[in-house]
Amino acid sequence: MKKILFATLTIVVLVLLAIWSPWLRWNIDLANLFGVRKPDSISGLQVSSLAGEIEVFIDNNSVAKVTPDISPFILDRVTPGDHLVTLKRTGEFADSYSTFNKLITFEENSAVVIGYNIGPDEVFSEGHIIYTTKKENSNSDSKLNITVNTKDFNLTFDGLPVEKVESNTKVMSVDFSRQHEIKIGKSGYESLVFTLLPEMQSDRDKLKNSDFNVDIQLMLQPVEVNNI
Amino acid sequence: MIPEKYRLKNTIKYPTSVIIGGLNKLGLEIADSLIEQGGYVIIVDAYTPDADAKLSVFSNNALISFLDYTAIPHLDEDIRRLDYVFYFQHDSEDLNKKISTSEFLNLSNYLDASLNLAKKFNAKFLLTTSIKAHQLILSKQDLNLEYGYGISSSRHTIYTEMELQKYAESLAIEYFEREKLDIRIIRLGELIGDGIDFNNSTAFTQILLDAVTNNQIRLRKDGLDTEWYVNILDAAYGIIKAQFSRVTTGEIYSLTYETPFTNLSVAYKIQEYDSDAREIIFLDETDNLPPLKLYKPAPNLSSIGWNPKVNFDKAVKQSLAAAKIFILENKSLTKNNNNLVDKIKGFLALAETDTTMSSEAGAVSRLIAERKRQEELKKQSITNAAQASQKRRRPKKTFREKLEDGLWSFFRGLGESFNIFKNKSPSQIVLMLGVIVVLVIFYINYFSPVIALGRNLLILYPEVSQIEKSVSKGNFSEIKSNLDTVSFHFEDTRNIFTKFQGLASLLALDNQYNEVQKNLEAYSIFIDGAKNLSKGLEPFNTYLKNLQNNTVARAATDSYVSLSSSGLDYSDIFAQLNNSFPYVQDGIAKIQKSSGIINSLNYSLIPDFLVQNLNPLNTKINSVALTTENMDTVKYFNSLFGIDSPKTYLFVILDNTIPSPLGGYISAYAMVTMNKGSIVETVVQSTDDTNFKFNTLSESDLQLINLRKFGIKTKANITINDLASIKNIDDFNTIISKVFKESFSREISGVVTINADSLNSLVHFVNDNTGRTVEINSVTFGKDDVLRQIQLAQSDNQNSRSRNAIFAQLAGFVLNNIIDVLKMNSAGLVANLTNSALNRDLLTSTSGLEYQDYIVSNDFNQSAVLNNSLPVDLAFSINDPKYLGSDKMPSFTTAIESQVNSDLSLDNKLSFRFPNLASTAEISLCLPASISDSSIVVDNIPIERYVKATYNEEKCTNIMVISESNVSLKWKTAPVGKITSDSLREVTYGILKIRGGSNTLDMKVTADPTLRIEEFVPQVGQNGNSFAFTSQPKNDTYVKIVLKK
Repeated sequence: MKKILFATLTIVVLVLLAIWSPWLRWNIDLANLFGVRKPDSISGLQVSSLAGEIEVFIDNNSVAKVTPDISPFILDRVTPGDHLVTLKRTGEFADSYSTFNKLITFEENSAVVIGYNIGPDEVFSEGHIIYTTKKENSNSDSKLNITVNTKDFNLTFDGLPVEKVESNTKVMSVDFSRQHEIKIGKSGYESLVFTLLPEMQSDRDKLKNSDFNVDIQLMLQPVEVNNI
Repeated sequence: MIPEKYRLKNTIKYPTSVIIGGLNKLGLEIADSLIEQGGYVIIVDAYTPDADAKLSVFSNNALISFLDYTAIPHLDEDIRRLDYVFYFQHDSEDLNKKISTSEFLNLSNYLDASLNLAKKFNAKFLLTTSIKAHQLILSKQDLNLEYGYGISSSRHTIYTEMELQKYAESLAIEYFEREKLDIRIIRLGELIGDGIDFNNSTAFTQILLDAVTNNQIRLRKDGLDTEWYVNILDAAYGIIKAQFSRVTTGEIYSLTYETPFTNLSVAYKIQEYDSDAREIIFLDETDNLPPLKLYKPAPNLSSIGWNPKVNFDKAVKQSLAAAKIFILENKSLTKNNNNLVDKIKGFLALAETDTTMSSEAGAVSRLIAERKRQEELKKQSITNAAQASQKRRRPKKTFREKLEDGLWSFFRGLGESFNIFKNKSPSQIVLMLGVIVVLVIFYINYFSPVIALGRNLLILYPEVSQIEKSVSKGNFSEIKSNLDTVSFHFEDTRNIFTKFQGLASLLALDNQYNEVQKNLEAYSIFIDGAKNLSKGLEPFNTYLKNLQNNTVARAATDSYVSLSSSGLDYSDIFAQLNNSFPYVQDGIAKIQKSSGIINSLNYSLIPDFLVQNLNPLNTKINSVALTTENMDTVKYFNSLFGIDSPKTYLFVILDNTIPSPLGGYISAYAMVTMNKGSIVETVVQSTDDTNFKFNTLSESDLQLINLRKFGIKTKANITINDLASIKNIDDFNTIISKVFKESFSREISGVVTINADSLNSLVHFVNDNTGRTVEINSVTFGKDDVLRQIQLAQSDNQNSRSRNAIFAQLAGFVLNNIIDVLKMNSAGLVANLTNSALNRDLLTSTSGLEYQDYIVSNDFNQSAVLNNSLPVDLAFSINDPKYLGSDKMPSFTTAIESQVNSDLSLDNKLSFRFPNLASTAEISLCLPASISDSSIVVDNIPIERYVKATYNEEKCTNIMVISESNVSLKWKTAPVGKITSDSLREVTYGILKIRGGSNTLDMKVTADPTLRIEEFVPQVGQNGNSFAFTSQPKNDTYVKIVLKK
């Protein structure tokens, strides 16, 4: 009888302890215990202005002002996670320009690359945002997801025309052996050219576990006014 | 030389007992009992020639060893386990016998060594002494005689056997008190019965020997001296019981019959049992001792449940029998009975002073001498043991021996600390430790994570349910705390789950693991999305919280709703909303993504018990995804809520019990102007109470109005309800905006048509959320069906005007409460309106606003089907002023039969059945303008009762019906079809829902035998080269046929 009671009590205690399970939340870093500091997980931001002076905000905090001459601005210590990136034109007529506002997920050990020309309206703004996301399936090849603000665009990859894309998205695989030049164009819109992947192979190799996302804003060409 | 079979057995497996001084009947009985119970017994005694004979009672396989007394000092090194020690100190030839101080010291050191041995192994110790010794010591204490009585001329203290026993008890008690040794002391009565030792010269043995040798039974003094007795076997049983009993620790017990017996009573018993026994004689003796006082022994062992099994009488009989056997075994005793006693006396006296064997003694003296030699051997052995322990030199041990000893010591110590390891060998302990470590690893890495997972899922489910509830009400500020809890427990779940990856790989369950991981990833994305969405919509929640209901219900017909104030300026809040829009976008995208991942899960890979737990969560997430899908419309709020500039909206109330192409009879309207987030102007009226102006309408506008009319309307005779013949809501918006601009000088930014079904739904929604109702003409509206209530409200006043007024008041009721409903349940309100829009009970057009993009993309203006290559647009209207509507929606049945010809042209036949509600009605069928007039044929209506009209891309055939209840039309469509590949042609056409009533659509498509139907939508049963279906469409119907030549 006593043994059965003892056994029952033990099982109950073990189950209750398992429900609590404080050891599951202990983060014992052996490296730290031995005085070895692991590198902090960081992300980065690179902003280039394609025209005019742009003030860069992260989570509503101003971090820099960028012009085409002093581009790109590089911020190399951004905490991974979601951050609101805002770009605003500065200067006398700043209020006449639209504002670029986007919530971007900064992945560990990668940088978000933005190149923008902010116009008076969104349709008259152009630019690209390149950011990475973790691959859904680690065994599959890395993908390049291109999203454009308009449909029926032309895609040129490393100087070679790929195809006319009927929708506003295109998915391709990524070759990590070199950098790539991508051109997006459409009749009635200004074409946009940008470079994908870092220059160094070692830096490119670090991104092999990620998918690439490029959001393109093509600028509508203003209507030509013929002087009579 | 001690035989090999009695050598020490180095084992830890068996409970081990040491019986010191145990080579006698009592010791052997105890040893036998212990061996029978599976124990290992080591008897320590002096090795005499008859030791083998005594030990031969045990089989060769018995777990028994025999050691000399010299073994005790180093026995701790030789054995691995010791559980019980029995130390027999009760046996003494003569308690008054003097022993030297050094002998006393040796004997007491030996006891000390034995106690130390027990202490080292944490063994239980039992010391036996004799009651007689205790009795004598007490009597000597009374006389204040110390250390031997009688006068001695020695200059040193004289010790006796009884003092040795007293010291033994004291030392034992000291070990109990100081060293906490588990010890008990048993004082034995005189051992009698089978196995009695006749070498002990006691009154009992003397009486027995007198009786069996046919001598007078001699009793000393008056024979009333009492003695305490116990049967040998009962003593053995009692000693074992005392040793194993927990309650005896630290106690002294007597092991004897309950009562003492006088020598005289013993003599009488013997006379009774032995008929040959002679008479009793009393010997005068004087010992100068006072009479023995009543002696109270220590508590009897019967207090712990021991009971003698052999009663005194039987024991006496056994003793008598033993005595006879003893005598028979010694024949020389039969010669001279009278001299025998003297001889025995003499030899005993001789034995006391002379240890050498006398040649004249004979058998008795041999026995006595044997006994003396045993005593001497014992003393010698003990002395040697004492000497050995004093100058004990530990033999030099090899490294291996030292290591072994060290290991044994360590593990023994472990056994003392943890009961579970007690009396286990090092290898057993290591194995047990290994098992424990494995169990702990299993518990920490697998068992507890599984339990913790279950805990987390139990916590997550109600939290996610709460989130779902809050989201469905549009209350995003409330979900923050839920999200924090969900986030915490979910991250915990993820971390726990990653621990199983290794195990999954090991068990080749990678696919299953990855699928569950995918599900968890979806949750992670959902949580991120919900957090961002909540953050993004926070300003909107602030707006709703601060929004004031400045509308006031009125009974006046100029407007059933007015305003108490111009409201507040909420521009700042909307600016914040604008800034946080990226969070909304991101939140919605992530929630949709998580829903997408969940819907792509392969549940067959996930174990059933996990599916049962994950499925409810997944369902909730999908529900949230559905609710939040269109929340990115907040980007239009700046415009819609009049933040950038004031916006005026027109809500047109249609009585669809009086059908029209637009969706019903225009009964009432509400015009609402928004500025900076507040309602700044409102007019709610019946159309009968409004003077509409149509002067700004152009010819083109009139053409549009007349497109679906049998008759022609001009500016001169046009009424507001003629506008109801415009089916396309965007066209209607254009026209009615012109009318309202002229009539009210207001720019209309958006038009919404609300039919009676939708109004009914809104009235109930207001009541469900606020509990409010409205009383019109003594009828309460809010809970029951609006149309039935309208009939009741009109019971005394059945006319169009009163009906329209009621609609207007209902519209006013909804408008008056809409702000409160919006604050309480914004998401629910949106869902209600969305549902009405999808059923075509509510149509929207905001041509001048960005919001129009959303309307078009969701087809809330029912224009998508018109962009289809083959729209079939049917409408029904009643223009009879005598028809006042009903409490039921009309029902329409449309049957379409299409024949796809080999050239991909279509021969279509339409049969339209409708209710006979009024004396006249109009039916319009609008088709693409490309269809030639001649190909459109009306079968059953005379030509004078139908006309054809064209406007832009539409060609309409308008039929007036008088008494008919169905019309039948035919038309031919030119070859159509999109080429999808070399041999495949795709033909699509759309059949618009007839607004305002319930629709039944019967459709049949047959292809030419040269064509084969490869695929078709909707998915219905195919019969050869044709398919047919019947449906009750809530929305427009799309038909797609893929054909192959």
